[in-house]
This record gives sequence, C-alpha cells and structure tokens, in this order.
Amino acid sequence: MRHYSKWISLTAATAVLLVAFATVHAADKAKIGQPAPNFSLQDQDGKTVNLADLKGKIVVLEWINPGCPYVQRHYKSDVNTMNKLADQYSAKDVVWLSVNTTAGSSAGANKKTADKWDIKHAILSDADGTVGKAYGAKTTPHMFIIDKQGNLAYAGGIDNDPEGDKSSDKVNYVDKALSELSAGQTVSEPETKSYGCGVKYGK
Amino acid sequence: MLRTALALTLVLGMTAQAAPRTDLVKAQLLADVSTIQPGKRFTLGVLMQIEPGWHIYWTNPGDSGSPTRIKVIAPQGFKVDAAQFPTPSRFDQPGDLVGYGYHDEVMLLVPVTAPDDLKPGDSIKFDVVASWLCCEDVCIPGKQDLSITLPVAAESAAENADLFMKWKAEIPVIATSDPLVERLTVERAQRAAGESDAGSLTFVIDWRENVKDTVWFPPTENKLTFTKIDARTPSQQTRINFDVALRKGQTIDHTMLDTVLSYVNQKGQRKGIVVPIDIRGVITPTGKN
Repeated sequence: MRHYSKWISLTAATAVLLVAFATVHAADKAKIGQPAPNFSLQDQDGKTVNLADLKGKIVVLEWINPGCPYVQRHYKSDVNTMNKLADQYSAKDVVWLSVNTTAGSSAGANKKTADKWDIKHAILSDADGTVGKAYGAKTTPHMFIIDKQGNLAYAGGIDNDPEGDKSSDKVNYVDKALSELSAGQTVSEPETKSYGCGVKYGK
Repeated sequence: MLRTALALTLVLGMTAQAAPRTDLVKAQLLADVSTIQPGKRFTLGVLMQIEPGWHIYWTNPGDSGSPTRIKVIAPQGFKVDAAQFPTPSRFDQPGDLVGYGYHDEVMLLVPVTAPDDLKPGDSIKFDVVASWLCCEDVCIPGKQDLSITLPVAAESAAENADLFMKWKAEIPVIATSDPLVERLTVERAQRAAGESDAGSLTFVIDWRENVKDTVWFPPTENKLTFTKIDARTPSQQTRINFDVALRKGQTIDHTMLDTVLSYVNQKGQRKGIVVPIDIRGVITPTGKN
C-alpha cells in the first residue's frame, strides 16, 4: 500500500513538472497561422469566457486600458471605432472581446468602463498578465483576430493612423481582415505594427 | 483614529481621477545664430524639459509610445532638414517591454538653409509645433506651438553656443567616422529553418580601446520586428545578437538599416554612433514600400 502511494506521488510530481514545462512553452508568443493560445477569463459580469468554446467563430481580441489616450480616442462617441466594428460584424459570426491586462484591474472596474463607453461586448480581466504575455500584447490597443479554425489570422494595430490625424490613405486593418475572413478569404495583411500606450504588466 | 483617517485619505486619493497634467513637458525654441545670413546654414533647437520620472520618445519609441515630432513652418525658399535626435536611453518595463527615449531634458535639432535672395533688415518668423507622448505609469500626449523671429543680416554671430555645442555632440555620428571604431562586421546571418524573411544575426564592432555600457537601439522600421536583442562588450569587442523578421504580408525595399549604439568611453563620456547593418542575409528585399 505504501509503495503504491509513493508511485502515485512520483507520477503526480512528474505530471506537475510536465504541465509546468508545457505552460512555459505555451507562453511563447502566438504566431500567425498557428493555433491561438487558449484561455479562460472572467468578464465584467463575472461570467467565464473560454476561447475553446468559441471555435467555429471569428474572434477579435482587443487589448484595452481605459486610462490610455489612444484607447480613449477610439471610444469617443463620434468615432466609436471598436463598438461600431463589433456591432457591424456581430451578424457575421464575429465575437469581439476586449482584454484588460492592466495590473490591479478587476471585473468591477471593467464594468464601470463598459457602462461609461456603452460597451456591449465582454471585457475580460487578465490582471496577472498571463494571456497578454501568451499573445505578445504590447500596446493598448493591440488587435488579434482568430479564425474559425482557431488559428491566429491577424496581429497588429487597429489601423495605420497612430495619431488619428491622417486625412487620406487611412486603412482600418481589422475591418479589412474581418471582411476577408467572413468572405472565406485569407487575410491579405496578417501582421502590422500596433501603436498605443504600453500594456501595464505588473512588476 | 488617525491611522484610519490616513488610510481612508490614501484610498480616496488613489481612486480619485487625476486631472490630466499639462505641465509635464516644457519646450523652448532657440537658434544657434543671432541673425540669418542669406544662403547660409543655421540650426534651430527645440529644448524640452521633462518632469522627473517621466519620459518622451525617440524616433523608434520601442514596443509602445509615440515618437516625438517637430513640425517646422518656414517661409518659401528655406530648406528645412529632418529633425535630428540625440542618442536615446533605453527604458525596460514590466512584461519585457522596451522603450527608447529621453528623460529630464533633451534638445532636438533642425538644420535650416537660408535662400540666397534674402534682404538684410528683413525679419523671418519660424513657427514650430512640437508634439510628444509623455509617460510614467500613465501616458499623456502633449503639444506646444512655438515661434522664433530672426533678423536677416550680412553678418552673424553665434548664439546659445554652449547649449548647441552640448546637444550637437549628443547626435549619433556615423560609426566609420568615430576614431574609436576599428572594424564593423556582419559575422553571422542565419535564416530561420522553414521560414522566409526571418532569422538571426551577429554584428561585431571592434574598438581601438576599451568601452563599456554598450546599448543597441534597433532602427525605426515598422515592417520589421526585432527580438532577442543582446549586445555585450567583452574586451574591446561589441557583439550584437538579434532576431529580425519581416511582418507577415509586408514587403521591404531595402536591407541596409541605420541602427544606433550608445557606449561610454574611457573618459566616462556617453557617446552614440550610427551602425549601418545590412540584413540581406536574412531578409530579401522585394519591390517598393
């Protein structure tokens, strides 16, 4: 009996080690064309959102920080970039998720943001930074799009206009990618440079 | 009772929404001449004082942030060159994020060439808009309108000489013109297995004397990503290792990149050099951007 329990302990210990090792590897940044890292996070109403449950949908991840002027500009009511796109593509099997990786943030704080900016989609709390690091989120905003097969199809900026002052040649990369994906095409510009404030990872 | 009151004050202070600060960066517009001579070059300088603990950004801001921008409106006939940026500093932030920029004080320089057909006695006004993103824990964008009026004269004298001499010395010089640099070599360029337009490089700088505290700054290139940056200087040789990749779906029409290296010489002075690195061993240029 004692021998059997020792064997179980050894197996359990090895399993823990293997899982730890696997987690370290999963923390390598997500790559275009590769499976998007899975996650399970709480939204502003305390509901758990599991990426794996959304397979078969196009999923947009939008890194958000309500204190960042670049995010604030996109949520201004006359611009409303994110809400408008989320609304426009909701009928095309697109699920829009905001992710708040600000250290110290909470579901309660995300609820306040949702109320303030009339956000109808989920804001997920990633306060310990695990999901941000798995995706390589650097800025707010930073956009990632996952296709229906669960692979990363787009990573980068929301558009090509960091200062919001372009009068011509303005391209919304997410709109373009969603339009291509929902028509069954591959994304023509899968990777661009994102802009914004740095994601506020904890120390 | 006092402790509770103090704790309560701290909590309230932290949750109260702070009004956005407008005093974080103060800019001044200066010239290195007292008058403008027809046909001659002079330099405008935007001197920026930055609130301690905060920073603004270089042309390549790093993983986040926004480059400091100088827009000069000059009368017809004046040739205004692109703003010159002093050697930056590197800020390492949580989550392995890196930023490049300036703290406390920086002066950006703008070389200007006057046209030949100026009349002595005329007055010339330059309008400048300086804009920046100033960050600490939070980021606050800022902008300042500046102007300077200079008379045209046949003769001129230096103005703000010490200030301009100090900041001109902070602009990185091309590595081949730095007397301490002996040799520059792409030692290794290795394409990543199964990938096109991605790989790693080792670039070596041989020095004529010992230098220390070398920091490498990747160039301002939106189509490329630079990762696993490692620059160290064992005994009179700087070895720069980095991975570079072309963002998927993007093309680039050049492979010669202007990177910057800062170092401290034996006199304890911090200097910057522009280190051109050709990455054609890893990235294939195709077409025009």
